[in-house]
Amino acid sequence: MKRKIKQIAMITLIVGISTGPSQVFSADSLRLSVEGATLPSTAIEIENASINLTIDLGNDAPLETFVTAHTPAGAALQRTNLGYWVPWSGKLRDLVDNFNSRKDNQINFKILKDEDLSQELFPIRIMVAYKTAIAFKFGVFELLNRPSE
Amino acid sequence: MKILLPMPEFLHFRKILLWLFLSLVMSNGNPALAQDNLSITDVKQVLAQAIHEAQRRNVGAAIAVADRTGNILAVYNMLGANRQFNATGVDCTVALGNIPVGCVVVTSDPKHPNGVPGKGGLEQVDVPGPVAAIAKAITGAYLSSRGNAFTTRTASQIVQDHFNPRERFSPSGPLFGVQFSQLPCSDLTISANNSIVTIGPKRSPLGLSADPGGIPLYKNGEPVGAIGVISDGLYSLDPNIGDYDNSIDELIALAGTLGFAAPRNILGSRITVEGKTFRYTDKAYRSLKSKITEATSFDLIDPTVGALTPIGTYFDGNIREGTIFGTPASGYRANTTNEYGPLNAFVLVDTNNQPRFPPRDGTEGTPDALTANEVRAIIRNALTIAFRARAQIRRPLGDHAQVTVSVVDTNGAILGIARTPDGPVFGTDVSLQKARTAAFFSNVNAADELIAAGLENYVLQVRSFLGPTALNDGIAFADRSGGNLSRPFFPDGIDGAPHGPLSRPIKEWSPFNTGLQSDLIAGNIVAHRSFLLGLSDSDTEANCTVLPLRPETSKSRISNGIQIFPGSVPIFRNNVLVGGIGVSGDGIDQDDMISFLGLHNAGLELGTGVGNAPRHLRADLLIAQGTRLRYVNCPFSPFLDSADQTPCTGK
Repeated sequence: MKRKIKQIAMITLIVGISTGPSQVFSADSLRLSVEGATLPSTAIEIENASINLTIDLGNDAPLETFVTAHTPAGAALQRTNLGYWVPWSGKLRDLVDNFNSRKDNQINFKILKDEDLSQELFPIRIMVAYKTAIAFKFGVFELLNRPSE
Repeated sequence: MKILLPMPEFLHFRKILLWLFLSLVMSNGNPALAQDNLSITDVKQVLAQAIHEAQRRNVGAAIAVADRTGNILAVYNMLGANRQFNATGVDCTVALGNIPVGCVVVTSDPKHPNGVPGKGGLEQVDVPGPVAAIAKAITGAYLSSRGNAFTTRTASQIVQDHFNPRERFSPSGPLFGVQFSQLPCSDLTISANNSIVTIGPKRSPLGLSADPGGIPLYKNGEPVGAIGVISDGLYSLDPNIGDYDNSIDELIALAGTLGFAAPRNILGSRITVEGKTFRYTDKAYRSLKSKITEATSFDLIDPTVGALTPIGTYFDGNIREGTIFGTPASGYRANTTNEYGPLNAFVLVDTNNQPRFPPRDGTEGTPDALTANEVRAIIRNALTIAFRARAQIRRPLGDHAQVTVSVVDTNGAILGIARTPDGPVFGTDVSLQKARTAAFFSNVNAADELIAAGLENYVLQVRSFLGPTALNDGIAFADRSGGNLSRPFFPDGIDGAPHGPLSRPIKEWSPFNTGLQSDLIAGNIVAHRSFLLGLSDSDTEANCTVLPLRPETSKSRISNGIQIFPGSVPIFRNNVLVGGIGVSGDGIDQDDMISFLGLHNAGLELGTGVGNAPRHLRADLLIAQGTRLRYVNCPFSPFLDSADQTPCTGK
């Protein structure tokens, strides 16, 4: 996956709504937690994957946002704010801010956009997280390979 | 290629001999792994022979063939195989790829075809016959190597409450709990199983199997896979080793191995543990009803007999050839860097032939966290012990141990995995389970995380045994210590004694319902079953257990499940827990020694405070109900190159 760091870029996840290859999770029901929320797995079209994820913030005020991926082959990666995927040490202090946008008490995580993941193994575990002044909250979901019709 | 270690100066004669020995054995003293695999023609021959035997016995069978790293090369279901109704009388036949398939019912006693009343866990669960056949084939393949050939009947012998089964007042089997490894939720194993993604190890739908009928396949003395057969509708085990069964599953599988038999010298029946000989099969080739020359060529078998059967992520309906173990396509190959010095180490690789788990730093982000250099030294020292240790379960006698070594941090993140060339494949996942188990139970958060997962009953039981702060106080648990608490009798093997606090009571206990170990992953297996049956669109996650997630890994601390037989210790830096090391592949005492001494020697080499737990923190200081827990148990006089009798003493 490392050599496809640039290739993997964004996904938009919204449960129940699917517009072509892009997917988006619904915002009102998904929240992150200190303990780690389990988010719904999502199947993607691996040759053209785009996913965003909208999260309800409740009363939280995120200072920084993060997106990481763990592959079955053992690689740990994180997304930069420019959409590149780079190796990650696994240490929380090494996470880089994705500067994801906030609106109406929601935050929109950009994860993959128009990416060809046909050379990847699945499932890929994706973590989205934000840090507030007092807490680190995160959630995890699995990207699955949607079987071709 | 022979690699000589750098020649130290001023060596005494005995040290020179030792240097020569280490140079030869640790580098490439072993002959290179042969380049052999199952061809498509071979797979068809195995199938044809097995089908012919089944026909001669007037039964249908589900038959699977796997290569050494779990690639499923074929699944064939004969019409009428197995049963139509499950334990509750419901029709359990399903169509897999338009092939009607009967089911099998899990039972811990084959005298109870609908399961033993009162036993919980997976008891009475039904799965399609081919699913069970796959688990049996993977088991035969994963347990065997160039030095030992074990079957699912061997597995049955070593996972029960007594070793040997039914031998009252004898301790449990040496691999007690291994059946819950290679799980479909494991984050180490590879779930894709097709001609494009051939790297292993692959997962098994039911973990490892103890149901006779899984037998390894060999070509020219090299392990190339296994056949798994199930025909009787029962996914069970052999609870009585005092007789010789007429298992139809085993006989059909045996027919499949004609021409692919394991070398006689390495059969399980030639290998002993604790003075007891393993069982390979209960019947020999002379018990077959078929003749190999009469078997119909696979391509000419009438479609009314049965068909190749696609199933889930395991088999797409097309026979394929196996990989050559030790080549990148198999997911295992020789290490090509100097990562582990001159040792003949093997590593796991991805589909691009890149090492999957090279040494890396711990993820804790604390000053005490393990560094990549420390991980490297720990693995190298453990492998060094393995190359020196006299093997317990291998032939010829005098061979060294063959194992996999895993190192994790306190989050369960994999910091490194390497192995000797011929370690049995099952030890890959199991060594990781062991490392994580030692790190988890030694963590001050263990109790809180079990409670968060709804498993507080086990915490309460452990505390009633060990005291009110147990699993919160940072006591160092080796897997042997946790294993002591996970037996249906405490102390182990004493009939009538109460059950260990992490075990089910004996009335409920079975190899399909061990206690905390099985409770942690039962939901994952059920989810996977639903997926395979088409009852659910989503498979189990690649993250076993419902324990809290860790942001550093996106998984739980024990994301391939726990293991409850010996072979691991927690890693400390002075008084601080920093991880765990797990070893699997040889005898459990050897596995214990390799992890314990490897870590000890690494600590001496590094001088950074890394090493075994301080003695005042080790679980062998705990006395539960008058019985002291064990930490590790090293073999007596274990080395090929030294007369040292008790190398672990005082460390």
